[in-house]
Amino acid sequence: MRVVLYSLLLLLVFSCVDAQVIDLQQADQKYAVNYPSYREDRDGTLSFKEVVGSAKDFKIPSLPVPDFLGNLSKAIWYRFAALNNTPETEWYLEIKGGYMHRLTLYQIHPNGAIDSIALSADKDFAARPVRSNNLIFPLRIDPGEQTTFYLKATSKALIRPSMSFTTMHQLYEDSIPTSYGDGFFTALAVALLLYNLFVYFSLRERVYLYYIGYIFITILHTNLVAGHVLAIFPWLDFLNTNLLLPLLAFFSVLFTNSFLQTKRYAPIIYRIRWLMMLGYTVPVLFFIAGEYAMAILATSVLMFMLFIYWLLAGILAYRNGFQPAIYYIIGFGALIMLNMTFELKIVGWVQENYWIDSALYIGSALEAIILSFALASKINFYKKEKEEIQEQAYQQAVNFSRELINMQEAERKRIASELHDSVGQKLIVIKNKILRFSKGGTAGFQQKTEELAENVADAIQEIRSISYALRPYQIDLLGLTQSIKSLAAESFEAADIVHTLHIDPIDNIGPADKQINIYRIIQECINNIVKHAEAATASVSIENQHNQLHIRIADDGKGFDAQAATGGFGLKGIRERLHILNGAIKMGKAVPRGSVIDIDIPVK
Amino acid sequence: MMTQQKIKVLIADDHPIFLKGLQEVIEEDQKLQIVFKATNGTDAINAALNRVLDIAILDIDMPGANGLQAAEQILAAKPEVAIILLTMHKAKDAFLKALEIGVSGYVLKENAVIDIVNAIAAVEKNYSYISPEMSSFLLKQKNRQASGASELLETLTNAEKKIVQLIAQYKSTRDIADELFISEKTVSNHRMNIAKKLNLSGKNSLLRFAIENSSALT
Repeated sequence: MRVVLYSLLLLLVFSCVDAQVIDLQQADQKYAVNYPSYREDRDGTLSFKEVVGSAKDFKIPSLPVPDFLGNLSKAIWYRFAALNNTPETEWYLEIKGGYMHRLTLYQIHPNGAIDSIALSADKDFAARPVRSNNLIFPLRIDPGEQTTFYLKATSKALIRPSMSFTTMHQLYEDSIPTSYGDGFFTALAVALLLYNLFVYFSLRERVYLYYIGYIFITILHTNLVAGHVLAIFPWLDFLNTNLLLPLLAFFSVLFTNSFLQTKRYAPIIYRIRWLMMLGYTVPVLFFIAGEYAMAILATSVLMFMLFIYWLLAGILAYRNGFQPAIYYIIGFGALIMLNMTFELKIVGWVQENYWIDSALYIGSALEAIILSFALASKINFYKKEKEEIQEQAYQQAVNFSRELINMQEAERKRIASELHDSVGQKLIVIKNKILRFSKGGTAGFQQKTEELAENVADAIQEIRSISYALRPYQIDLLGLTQSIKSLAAESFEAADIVHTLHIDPIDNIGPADKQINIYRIIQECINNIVKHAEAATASVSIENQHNQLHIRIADDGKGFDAQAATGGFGLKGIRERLHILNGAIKMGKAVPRGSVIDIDIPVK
Repeated sequence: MMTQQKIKVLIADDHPIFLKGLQEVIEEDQKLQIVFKATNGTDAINAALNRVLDIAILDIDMPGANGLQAAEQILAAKPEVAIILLTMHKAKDAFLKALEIGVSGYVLKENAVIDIVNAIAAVEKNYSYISPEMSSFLLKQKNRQASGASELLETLTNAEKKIVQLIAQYKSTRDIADELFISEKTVSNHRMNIAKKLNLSGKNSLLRFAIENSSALT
């Protein structure tokens, strides 16, 4: 027993030289424990005595908060000392590490007395001496006293205790902005989550569910790491980073592929999505098997791959023309940036303050906001895309009917000229031959042949009528203006309708198909008047002004019901042709009686 | 008396059989000489502009330039050439267009063998010629177009109005002279005065005016 005590004292002297000593100078200050010496305990089997007995096995870390990622030791021992230069005797060691498992603190007083407290980060919340989100170890350090501390840490996740000496006064003051800030950002994310839940209910689009799933897990994970989850829901003690991060990755991959429409805009990302999601079963399996160190290592590697996956997906989709991807890049970019800021704190490159400490919260909230905005803008994008498709379909329909009408007109023209030029010409030759033939004969013979010639003339006249009806010969021969004039004059004269015509020269108004369409529209309007209106007078006016063709066709007939008339085939044809010409028609009643049709057609 | 110079004629039609028939009919007349046969409008124009020519007989429906376009171009360069249009179109608008261009004869193809000789004889004397079937067709046409020319017509004397009415019935100066028992010269004087009062100038302008405003004359 004596030997043991003696050797312990010896060791203490030795350790005093070696350990990092924190100089506690003021009671209203927080003193971070940076660069604590550490010792790896591979199987977690070393006892306190063994550790204290071999102080030379401790190493000075290269980081202010040593990080044991990729280290497969079951436990890590830390050693540091504190010298109390204040009258305050009640001190606390605060350890941020909601993700760790069990921490045992040994305090060796100058008189050789040893205190130890063991706290569990993931359960027994009620048993904590100070029930707070962080682990708080109450200590007694007498004024002027220097005591040495040993901390044994085991973790089901990362072993990374961020420690500081502080007083209750300071702890209380510090917790206010932290709690407020963490609460604020959590509430913000929850609000957006609810908003998108409502959007999901109205739109029934899966991308909103993925977003909700992703944001929910993000909020849960951030609060778990900060220790709030256990503080409020102690029964959630089975949750662990190694369970939540794979779930988070799962939702983020679903969201990414759904939001960015990777099937179309980033096929590579789309193809490897199952690989990414399957990869995340690895840390879960390790965790279930109790291989916590392996689990956290796998999680870290996969998280790094996930970051690259996100960025690549965003950039590829954006480059392939999916514009909302920019929000995605900014959103996930913000999260990655703030995560890195948090890491910078760990390696001691940036000073710790609230903003840095809560970087994960801010990052998550920012991402939630930006992605929510992106989802809202996606609705617009969809709407625009839908409109574009509709416009395209409309254009296609117009093109199709234009083709159809052009083909119809071409066919009519072909038949008309075939009749007129071929059959008509032949009949003309025949008639001329008969006329010549009859010259020399007797009176009786002449009479017979002249009758024959009359028959041929009738046939010629019939062919003329048919071919004129199929295709107005005037358009090619006399131009559109004269064609319309003749059309109106002949139609109205045949029906005994007194008429006035004011027709601007429009011969060079556009290509042949445009001209024939204008002609056919007017023809149909005039036909309607002649057939149905019972009019005494009618007028046709065409003005070509300011790149606009104003056509007005009026009569004093019985008028027509524009509503009832829309079903007619003739009006259908007019509308069809007007669609092609980008024109508009307005049908109204004339005063005191009759109808007025106004047609506007844009021309160059 | 020295031997009479032959009248130089150009004929153009894209239908070869018709063209051949036409040629035969024309060449039966010893005074006529066909200097060029064209099968399209462009050839007809080129030939008319490059050769000495008295009469050009043009089909209206031809590839290249149509008969109306050809007539217009030929008259622009050589107003002294008499143009006779041959056509299948028994239609008022084509006829009016032909008048506007200033052609001298409008002959329906279906009666060409009979009418062409008369047409040539008429235009040779600087008269206009219209196939009788054409003028009777035109006379049958009603004109219900509201005319804006009534006021102008009021400036004419009764004798002048009568002459305009006869012109509207496609009667030639000679026919009018015979009908009114006055000399052709008197008719010509009247025509000049009428044209002046109505502000008309150019070939066929009085005829066109009379046709277009026939409804206001009765």
